[in-house]
This record gives sequence, C-alpha cells and structure tokens, in this order.
Amino acid sequence: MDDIIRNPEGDNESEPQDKAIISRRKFLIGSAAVGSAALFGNCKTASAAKEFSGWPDRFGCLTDLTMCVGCRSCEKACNEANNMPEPDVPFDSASVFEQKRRPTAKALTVVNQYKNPKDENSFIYRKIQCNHCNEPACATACPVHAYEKTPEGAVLYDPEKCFGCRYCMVACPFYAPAYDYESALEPRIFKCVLCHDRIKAGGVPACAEACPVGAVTFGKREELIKVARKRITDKPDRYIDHIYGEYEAGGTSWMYISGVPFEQLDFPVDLPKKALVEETKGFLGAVPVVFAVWPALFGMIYTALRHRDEIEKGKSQSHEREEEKK
Amino acid sequence: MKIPVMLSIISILLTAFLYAAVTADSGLVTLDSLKDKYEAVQFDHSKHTSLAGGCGDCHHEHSGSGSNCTDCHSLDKSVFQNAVTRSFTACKNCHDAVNPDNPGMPSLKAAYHQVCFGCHRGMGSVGTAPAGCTEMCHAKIQ
Repeated sequence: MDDIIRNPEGDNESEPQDKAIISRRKFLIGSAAVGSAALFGNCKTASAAKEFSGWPDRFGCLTDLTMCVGCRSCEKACNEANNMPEPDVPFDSASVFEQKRRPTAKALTVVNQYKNPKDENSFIYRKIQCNHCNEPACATACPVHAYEKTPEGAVLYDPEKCFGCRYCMVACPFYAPAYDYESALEPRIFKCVLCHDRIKAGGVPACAEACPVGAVTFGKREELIKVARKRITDKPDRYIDHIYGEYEAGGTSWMYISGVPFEQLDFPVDLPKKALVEETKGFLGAVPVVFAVWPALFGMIYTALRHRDEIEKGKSQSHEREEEKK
Repeated sequence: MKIPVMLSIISILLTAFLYAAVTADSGLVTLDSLKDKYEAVQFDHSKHTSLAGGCGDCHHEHSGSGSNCTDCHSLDKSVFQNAVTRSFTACKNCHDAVNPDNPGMPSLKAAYHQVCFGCHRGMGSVGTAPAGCTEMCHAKIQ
C-alpha cells in the first residue's frame, strides 16, 4: 500500500501528495471496478436465467372452462390416485358449490362454481390446483430447496426437506400449496404433483384421464398451446382470445381457456408476464455481494483515508518541528 | 390399466350399439359400461337417425354420406362388425388412449360426450351442470 500511495523517489516535496491523490483515485476506481464486476457477474447470471424458456418437452394440462360440467370426476380421481382420505361431502354432491373452495391438505384439486356472466341461468366451473409454473415462486421462496421444477413439467415438493415455514404459501400467486395444520408432529405441505409418477411411466394425470367431457387435456405444453389457439381461432364467439398461463407469472404448465374474462372467475390477472422470481432476483442476488464485497471495499477505503490522515499528520508534525527549530 | 379396459368395454359397446342399431327393429341400444354407478343408458339410434340431417352429424368421418347406414354398410354381420371395429374409420382407431404429442385428439369417452353435447347441451342441465348427467342419460341407481 505504501508503495502505491507514496512516491518511491520522494525528491520533490509537492510530488508525493499529487502522486498519492492520483494513486488513491486509481485505487478507488479499481475498487469500484471490483464492486461492479461482482454486481455485473450477478446481472449476467440473472440475464442468462431470463433467457431460459423452460424444459423443452415438459408436459402440462389445458383446462377448457367452456367444457367443464362440474361433475367433480377429477376431484374423485385425484383423491383416489393420491390415497387421500374420504371427503366429508361425497363427490357426487353439488352442495360443495355453495362456497368457493381452495385446495387443501385433503383435496389437491377442487372445482368451484360461478354464475355465467353471459347467461344468468347457467354456470361456469373452474378447476383449481397447482399450476406448475415454469419458474415457480414457491421454489424461490423456499429457504431449504424443498421444491423442484422437473423436466417433465411438475413442480415437486419434498416433505423430508421442509421444516414448515410456509413461505411457499405466501409466495404462490395461485394459493396452491396447502398446509396440513392437523399434523403437529410432521407438518407438511400438500399440493398437486401433476401425477409425476404416472407421467414418468408414460401415463396421464388422474384428473385428465377421468374427465368424461375432455375439459382437461393432457399433453406437451407446446402442443397444448397450439390446441388452445386453434380452439380460440375456430370458435372466436365461444372463447375470449387469451390462454391463461401461457405468459402469466412467466408461464405455467397448467393453462386455461375461457368464454368469459378470467377476472370474473377469480383468476389473478394482475400477474407480471415475467416470472415472479425476476421481481426479487436482483435484490436477493445483491445480498451476498453486499455482505462480501462491501466490507472489503469500505475497509480498503477506510484504510486508505486513515493512511492519508497519518501522512498529513506526519507532515504537519515535521513542519511544526522545523518551525520550532527556526 | 384402467384406460385400455374401459376403452375396450366402450368399443365393444359401440360395436354392439351400432350392430344393434342396424339389425334391431327398435333401434334401442343399451350402454351399460357404467352400470356400477348409473342405470344403463338406453340409446335410441333409430330416433337419432331420423332426427339427424345425416350420419355425419354424429359420425364426423361419415360427413357427406347419406342418412341410411345401408347406403354404405352391408347388413351382413361379419362385414358390419369389421367396418365398425377394425376398419380405418373405427372411432377407437383415433379416439384411443391419450397421446401427449397429439393432445387435440379427445379420448373415446370425451368424444362421445362432445358429440352428445353438440345437440343436447342446454337441454335442462345437460352439458352445463352436474345435474345434467342424471337428467337424460346416466340415471342414478335407486
């Protein structure tokens, strides 16, 4: 440090100070460069992640809200496929439609009934479950990496890793993860797993297989988008021109087409087109930088400034001594 | 395992239904693949034939053909069975198990329901509410 700041030759009285200032500037510029390099490195990672458009052959489902008749076969099939307990209200009862439900630890998918805004005498049925986001906010929020987006499309949850903080429930814009409040000893989250094991074995999610009217279509996400677009194009009077989930929250594996605007069916429509993780990535990415680089940076600046003060103090003391001699 | 079994049952029923439609005098066909949950469906093919504009109204592969089955199909039992179950126009040839690469193809039961709803949607609750399932076709077992 001394070599950098001091003029090594030191034969001119005024030069050391100038040199010191220039060198200090160089030092500060250098430090700033180090800091920006750290930040830039982080930005580069962020932009690389942004370009990732998801696993190419991932699967998904398309719910056609104009087709669903509310028979709840999907709920029943889901219950059986996941070995869930018997429901309080039987699956062939329509009394559940009296209130709006959300997925719970005992029902990973639920169907809600809405009055059709186009026709007061008919209803629209909306199936709810995890939408299996391309870049899931639950996975970002989870401090212990209990969530994983698989190449097949499902967002999976590992109860072995989970310690029950429920950040995922707060992070999910679709209110999909449900907490098992009844189990005190082994608390865990329950949510749709897109019948991952069945898909891996070449099968179809239980709800899609059970749907008697073809309201839930299973397939590769890219193909589903084509199917959805074709239906909208072929019947523009039947559908609104919107595939929900194609872009919402960065895109989801589960998508929907509807005859009425999605906000009328309580879909969250104020979601950004980019993944929710993009909203927090910059800040969260900066946290390690702040903790690692800032102490070093400010420490160096502080050392440099103190060193300058010492030099100036030393100079003024020698000047005083010379004055005393005189 | 369930799908192939169910599809086989449905295709057998379809065969029986089509065969019966042509041979039986009444044209009444009994569909009972869901007999554990619902009463068997009594489908009157003759009535549908007389009401429909042509076979193509329901059997999309037959669009453009006449309204009389015998215009194309032989009434010989073996020939007819072959035509409806093994020929290239058999429903299950396309409407079979779900193919993730071709999700636009409805499964057999979805295709059936979509064809029925084409005309019956909105008659009572058919095709619009769960009550519709039991109103016209799937009567609950008493």
